[in-house]
Formats: sequence, structure tokens, C-alpha cells
Amino acid sequence: MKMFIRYIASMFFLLITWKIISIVISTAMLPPPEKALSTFAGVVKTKTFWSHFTVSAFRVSSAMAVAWLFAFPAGILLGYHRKTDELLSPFIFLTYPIPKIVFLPVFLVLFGLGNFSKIFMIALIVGYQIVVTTRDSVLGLDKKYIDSFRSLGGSSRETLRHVIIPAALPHAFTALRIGTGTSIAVLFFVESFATSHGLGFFIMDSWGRFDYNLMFSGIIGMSLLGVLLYETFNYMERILCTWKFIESGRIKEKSSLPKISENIKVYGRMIKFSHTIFALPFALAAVVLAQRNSVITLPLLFWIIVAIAGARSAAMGFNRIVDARFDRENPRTAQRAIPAGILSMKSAAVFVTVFSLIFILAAAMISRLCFLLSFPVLLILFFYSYTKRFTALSHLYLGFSISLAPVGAWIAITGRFDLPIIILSMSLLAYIAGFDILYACQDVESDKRMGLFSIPARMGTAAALHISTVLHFISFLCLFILLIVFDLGIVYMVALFLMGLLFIMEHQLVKPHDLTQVQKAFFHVNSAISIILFLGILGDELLRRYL
Amino acid sequence: MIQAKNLCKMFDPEDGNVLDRISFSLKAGETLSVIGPSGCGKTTLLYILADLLSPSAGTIEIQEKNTGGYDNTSFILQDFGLFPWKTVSENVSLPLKLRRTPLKDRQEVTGTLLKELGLSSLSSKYPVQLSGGQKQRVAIARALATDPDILLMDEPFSSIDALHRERLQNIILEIWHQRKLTYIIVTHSVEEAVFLGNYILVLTDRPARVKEVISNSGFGMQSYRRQSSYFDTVNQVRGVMEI
Repeated sequence: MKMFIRYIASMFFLLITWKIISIVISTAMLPPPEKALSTFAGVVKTKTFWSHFTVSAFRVSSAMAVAWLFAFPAGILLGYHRKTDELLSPFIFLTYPIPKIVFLPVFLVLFGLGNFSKIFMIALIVGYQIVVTTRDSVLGLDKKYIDSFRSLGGSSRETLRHVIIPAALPHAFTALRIGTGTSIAVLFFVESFATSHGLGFFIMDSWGRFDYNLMFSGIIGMSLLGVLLYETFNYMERILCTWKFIESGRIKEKSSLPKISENIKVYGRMIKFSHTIFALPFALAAVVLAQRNSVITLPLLFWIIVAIAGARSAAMGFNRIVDARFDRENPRTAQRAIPAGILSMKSAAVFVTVFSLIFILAAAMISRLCFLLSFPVLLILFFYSYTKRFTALSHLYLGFSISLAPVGAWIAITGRFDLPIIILSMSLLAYIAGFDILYACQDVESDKRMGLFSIPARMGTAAALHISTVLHFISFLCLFILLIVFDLGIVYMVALFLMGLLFIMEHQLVKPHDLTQVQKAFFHVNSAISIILFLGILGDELLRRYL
Repeated sequence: MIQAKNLCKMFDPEDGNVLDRISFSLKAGETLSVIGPSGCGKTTLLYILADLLSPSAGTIEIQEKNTGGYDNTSFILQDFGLFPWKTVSENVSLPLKLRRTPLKDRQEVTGTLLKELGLSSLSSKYPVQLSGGQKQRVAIARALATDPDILLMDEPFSSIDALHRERLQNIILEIWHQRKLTYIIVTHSVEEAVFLGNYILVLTDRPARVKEVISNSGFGMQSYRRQSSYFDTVNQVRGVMEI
């Protein structure tokens, strides 16, 4: 906030200075700020201005990205690897003082008049600064950090990751920020001839037509671009190098903004975001099947994915809140964010609300029907959390609630409900219920203690494993029926075969007396099953269309 | 058990040996203070023991209680060696991360250690936000994260004010009682050497040779500082060091 006020204050100061100078000089070349700004306000409404702006933004930001991508690793390599440094540094320091910009005509001949030569020019100039700064910072690194790291048992590759790169990062960011000014200057230069796009052209063109007000709109646009880039890098640096900001007193504490990135991890773990991989491919498979007779656009696909992610996050978050007191009692789950005290109930509640709203919004963006359906769906999802308090069939209910995803995707695209898609959903239902039972085998003890219902707790691990096998057989059967109902082809058949093998493998992995493999192996096997399903259906569809 | 035999170190032939035929042996659970004039090569000796430098001649034999496959020695460097870009908890859990310890165990060990050393409230701070004493406690926590058999410390408390220094020395003693580890501490303070060492290895000026190994029978209790035998040993060490 303080920063914002400072920005406004400096802007105000700038405008007053501008005004005074324009009065003193009194020439058409320097219009008073209010005139330039009112022209600018008009210009920003035009498509032309924005097309120039985006072209320039594209050129300069991709050039900076390219520069960073090559120069930062190169600087690290030179600083860290003495042999390379001895070999290449003389070359770099010899060419460093040469003004690269004078080679623009050469580049234009070599690489053509298009974007490439312009981006290359900017990237080259900024890249040099990043290479040199990064290299020097690595060379200047206090050796005690490397000793300390080695004494902790770090290998030299890990030294790069844990010591060299984090130490060099702030320096490289400084170079990048300083490079912003340079890059905008170079941008102006490369855009001022042999092109008809970009803000540089816009400025020179207005100048040529003596339209100084318009010219200033271009100048303001270019300045905005510079500020935008600078602030972006500043923000990135703040997130990636928080410690440096604290060290230099620019911020006092890890502020709430950079915390977001950390929180994303905490929240992501809370809702086991990685487990999205199980259900999402099923929903996407429904999308592929649904588009056979309906049109699907990119925005529609986007909203479908947002809706699924939103619903899942909201439901998982809700589950964690409701189950917090049970999770606390179970050694397997006691480390979860809420019971471990990493996340407060309140922030988890905010999280659930936000994602519920995202889900509803996404549904509303798809269609009125989806919007109306979103409310009962949310209730069904939330209700799952209570089922294990009164029935051992909670596993099936979980499968049911997740199996709404493919149906939802189908309705989103076709606008109606059709029976065939139920088969895919049933397969998902049985698949989820089956492995939820396997998961529950790990919690028999604590479930019994807390009076929670689950099939393993009620019938014993061995029986539970059998039931899970049956469910997975049903799931596989449904996938087989899918083959017939949707008239799928050879690719899907291969996928089906692979999925069958994976199901068998999954059940081979777990023995009643040995559950150690559950967590790790399952994640891989299950995600492989879903992904193969999706790829099978997608591959089949592509084959059908293009061959 | 640690057995050093005739350790020599030469960096530059022109300068001759920095360390000259240093030998000593320590049984598991024993502690050693190394003291000598500044610049005599104490740190070099510790670097060799930590396997950060190799000796020009001589051998080191280390037998550990846990033969877990890796060298279970922790080293606390002179000015802590904390990484400014990592938070307190990241610093402490780093050695575990490098040993591929699962996240859950890492969090557990780190949490316990931070609590033990009174650092829980600082876990998400960066080293630059800490006082010298706090930094040192973080360094101790990090060194203990891997549950080492041997702990090496290079003048760990030299930059800390007297009051905190005594508190930290007490912490080291407490840790020694709890964990039964072997430690070697390099120091330039005679009092510290006497308070913390089963044995006190007095080195000569460059090249560092073993001048005398003093057995310190009273060592081991916090109350030792107030006993007359403590002052006798301090005086004995001073005598050997000719100060």
C-alpha cells in the first residue's frame, strides 16, 4: 500500500515537472501533460494502439525470457566451473564492451526483418549483463557456504541447487531489473525502422506526421510497458528471494504476498491436489466422447476443467475440516495441515468457500442447466464426509460422488443427460470405491477406535481386499462395455488390455499382512490406469477422425 | 572411536607443514577440546576430521556406533554456516533432505529439535533476522538433525556474548548427556576448553604440534564451573600454554 502511494506521489511530481517544462519551453513538440493524457485516454480505446502494444510487449518479454533462459545458466556455469570459465571468459570480456546494437543491420540481413532479429538483439544485449553479473556473484560467493554444505553431506550437484543458484539469484534479478531499461531502449531502436508494428514504430510514425499528442501516447505506452516489466521482475524476485528483501530491509517479514506461494503448497497438500490425476482423465475421456456429436470450444473445455478442479478442491477442503478431529487421532493423517496446526480452520473454511464459488461460477459460464445442477452436486460432494460416520458403504458413496465428474462434463458439452455415459461413470465409481477400500485398510485400527465405518474395519482386511478386487473387476467390466457402447476401436482395446494388467498388478502388490506398498505404489498404478484410459479414448478418436 | 595418527597438512611446500604429526585418540562418548594460539591450524585439523580436507600424511580411523553406511559426523563451522536463503526450519532439515529422508520424518525431527532448542517460534525466520545466540542454536539443531555420533565444532561461541555463551555451553553439555555422542571442540578460550573437554589437546604455534594432552577428570557437570578443580585445570592449561 505504501508502495502504491509512493508511486502515485512520484507520478504526480512527474506530471507537475512536465507541466512546468511544457509552459517554459512552449513548443508543439512537448504538449502539456493533460493534453497528452487525454489523447492517451482516447488512444487506449482503439484496437490499433493495443495491437502495437501487444507486439512490443511480446517482443520485449520474450527477449527477456530468452536472455534469462540462456544467460543465467551460462553465468552459473562460468562461475562454478573453472575450466569453462578459463576457456570462455576472455571471449565474453572481450566482446562485452562492444556495443551490440551496431550489429542490428547485420542481424536484419542474417535473420530477416521479422520478430526474430529484434528479439535476438534485445536478448543479446540484456543477456550479456545477466551472464556477467551472475558469473561474478558465483565467484564472489563466500566459500564457507560451500564448506558448510559439503559438511552436511551435499554432493556437488546438490551444491548447485541449494547453494550456488539461490545465492546468485538475487544478483541475476538485479541484472534483469536494470536490464529492463536497456531492453526498452533497444526495443525502441529496433522498432523504429524496417517494421510497421510496435510502439517504437507508433512513436516514430506519429512524429513523422507531426502528431505530437499521439507520439506522447506511444511514449506513455512504452513507459508503462517498462514499469510493468520492472514490477513483474521485482515481484518475482520478492517471491523467489524473500531473504534478500528481508536482509536489505525492504520488507520486515515474509509478507502475505510471497506467502501465497507457500500456502499454495500447504493447501495443495491439504486437498491432495496430486490425486486429481485419478478422476480428471475420466472426465476428459467423457469430453472426448461427448464432442462426437456436439461442438466443443476452447473456453468450454477451460470452464469444464475449472469446474472439476473447483468442485474437487472444495469437497476435499470440506472433508478435511469435517474430519479434522478424526485425522488428529490417526497417526497416518495427524500430519495433515489442519490437525498439524499448519492451517487454521478459518482459512480452510475460506478456501472451501472460494472454491465452491469458483465451481459455481464455472458451471454458470457453461450453461444455465449446469449452473442449476452445481448446487445439488456440491451438496452431494459435501455429504460424503459424513457417510463414514454411519455406513461402511461410504467407499461406494465416495465413488458415486466422484463419478459425477464425467456425467457433468457430458452435460456441459451436450446439454443433456444420456444413458451411455453412465457406464463410464460406473466404471469410475467402482474404481474409486475399490481403491478407497484399499486405502482404508491402513486405518482399521484408528477407525475402530473412533467408531468410524469402513469395510476393512467391519469385515477385516482380507475380506476387504476381496471386495476391492470385485469392485475393480466391475470397473474393468464397465470399461469393456464402454468399448461396445461407444463403438471404440483398436487403440482403446490396447488401452483396455493395459488397464486390465495394471488392475491385476495393483492387487498383487497388496497382501493382507503387508500394506506398506499401498501409498506409494497405488499412486503410480492408479494414475497410470486413468491416464491410459484417457489416452486410449483420445487416441481412438484421433484415429477415427484423421485416418 | 576416533584415532588420529601422525596427521600432517601442508598447503604450500614453501610454508612447510601447518599440522605436524598430530596424534590423539578418543573413545566413543568422550569429548576433546582443542586449544592453541590463533592461526596455528586448529581449524585445518577440524576440516581434516570432517573430511573437507585430506591430510598430506597420517591416518584417521573412525569407528561409529551406527554404521548406517554414511559418515555420521556433523560439523558446526566457525560462523555457523547457515544459509541466508533458507529459513530456520529449512536450514535445520537440509541435512535430512540431502539424505533423502521422507518429508514427514523430516518435519518431525526438525520440529522436535527446534522445540528442544527453544526455536519453534523462529522456524520461518531467515538467519538474518536472528541474534548470534539464536543462529548458533539453529546451527546446533542442524548438526543434530542427522543424530550424529560425532560432532565437530569450530569456535562455535566466539562471536557470542559471555552470558549467552555459558548458556550455549550448558546446552552442549546437556546434549552430550542425552545423546552420548563424541564431540571435538576447537576453541581459543581456556575456560571453554576446560568446561567442555574430557581431554584438552594443547597445540603449539605453527606448525601445530601436540604440546600436551591434559586429562580433565572433573568435566561433565554444569556445576564444574564453580569447583576449585575447574580453576586448577584452567591454571594447568594456562601453564602449558605459557600464558
